[in-house]
Amino acid sequence: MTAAAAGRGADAPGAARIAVRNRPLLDVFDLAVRFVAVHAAAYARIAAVVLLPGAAFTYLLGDGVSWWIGWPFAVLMAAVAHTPFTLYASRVVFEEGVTVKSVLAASLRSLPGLALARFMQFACIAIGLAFFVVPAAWIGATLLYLGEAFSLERGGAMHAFSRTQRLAGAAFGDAMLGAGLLVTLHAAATLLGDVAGRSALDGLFATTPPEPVWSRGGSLLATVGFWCFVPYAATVKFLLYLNVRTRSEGWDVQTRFAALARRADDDRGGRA
Amino acid sequence: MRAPLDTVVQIETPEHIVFEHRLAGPARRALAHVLDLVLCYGVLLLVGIAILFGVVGGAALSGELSSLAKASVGLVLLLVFIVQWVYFAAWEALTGRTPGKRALGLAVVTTTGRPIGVREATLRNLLRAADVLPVGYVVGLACQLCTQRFQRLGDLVAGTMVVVPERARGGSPIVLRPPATAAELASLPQTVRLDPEERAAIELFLRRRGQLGAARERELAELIAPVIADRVGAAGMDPVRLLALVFDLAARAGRDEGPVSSRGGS
Repeated sequence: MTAAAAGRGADAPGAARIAVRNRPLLDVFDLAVRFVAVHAAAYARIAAVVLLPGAAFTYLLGDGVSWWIGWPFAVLMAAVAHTPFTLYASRVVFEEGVTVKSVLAASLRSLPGLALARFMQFACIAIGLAFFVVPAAWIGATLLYLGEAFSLERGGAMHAFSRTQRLAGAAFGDAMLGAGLLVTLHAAATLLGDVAGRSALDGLFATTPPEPVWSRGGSLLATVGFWCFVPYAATVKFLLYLNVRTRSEGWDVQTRFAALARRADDDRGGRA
Repeated sequence: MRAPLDTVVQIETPEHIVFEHRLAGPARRALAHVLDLVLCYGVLLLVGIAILFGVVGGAALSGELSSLAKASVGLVLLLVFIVQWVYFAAWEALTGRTPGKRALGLAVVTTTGRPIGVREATLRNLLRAADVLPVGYVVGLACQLCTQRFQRLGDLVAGTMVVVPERARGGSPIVLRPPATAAELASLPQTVRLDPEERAAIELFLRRRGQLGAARERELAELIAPVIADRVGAAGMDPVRLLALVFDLAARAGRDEGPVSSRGGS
């Protein structure tokens, strides 16, 4: 999605479904909460198709084989599962009449290239981890927008790698903090899924809760918590991407100017 | 058409003046809460360590736990109670924000935009016990997802919300560089009027100049410059320059309409 494409959206950028402006990092996280709440129905339909199989595979793999294999599988699959949510969010911001079906079809088409790009991304981070945490964190922040660059700019894996570096470099502090917060929140959501789920099962439904996540390294409830966080994480990343492009390409100015130009057109039409 | 999604809420006063408040959602509020907890339990830990070494340790050396040591343990328990029930309510009643909220630039206000008092601060913090259920503020988070103002149960009952108050910014005036030439001034009317939306949009554009690149600046300016050029009868001028000139003329007109003390030097 280029700036021009955003500008030519079906309804023009002045009609973007979110207020486009340069936002502080935490405001992006807050806006994502609202975005997910507003589009909960569509997200639920995408989740039913994408997240349920992912969660089921994760649990079967973790419980049946080992959670040492289950969690890395979940992390890799979750990165790929971001795509339909990213595509839905990007389309619904600028277009009318977005259907879940079209989003899922587009996601499926981009799957092979994206899986390769994600695999390379995790390989880079794993190599970074071999040199302790800081290089991995740096690489993780630099490659934060890989999925968005790949899915929304459609330039292929190599293009996505160079774009994510440029985008992250435009606001590296935000990318670093954003990546750190997302990882922390994802871990917290996984734990919360387990603890809150067990608490609810025990307190509300008076049933015996399953073993906690720390007894075997994983649990069904933790898996649910992990996968439930994916839509929010994808939305945050998309909004961060939008924010960095707003900052570097003046999308906030563009939306305002386009709205003024459209108003002038309407006035002329009214007078005619 | 629905208003674009945002984290801003508008409040209209009885005098029909509309104020905009930027809301603080779960992310900012959670971080502020974590900061408060770190501060509270950090102090508590220090007090506990001091008591352990100063009083209980001394008592252990002398072979008996004195009544002073027992009182110290009681003091720690009292501090825990204060942290859980008094700290948040007291700070918010006195200053409208806890130290954690202050660090992140947040404040608690009523849904009408007024500062909160003892009643609101007490109510919203008493209900914290419900928001935290079953664990990790799940009820509070669910409640924030469902409300327009990111309110948890405590906020709904007390009629409060958490906002990010805008800091008063003394924005530096936008200077026209290079100054308008005689030819440019001759091609434009003496006064140009821009409505508030146009003025805000062009100001945003001019403040961002230098960060966007010349080509992008021109591309953006071309979106609105023809409309302005039509109105002021200045065809063929560079679009970026036209916007800068028009904004400068409109700003001068605004100053000249104000009291003498607010007018520019020349």
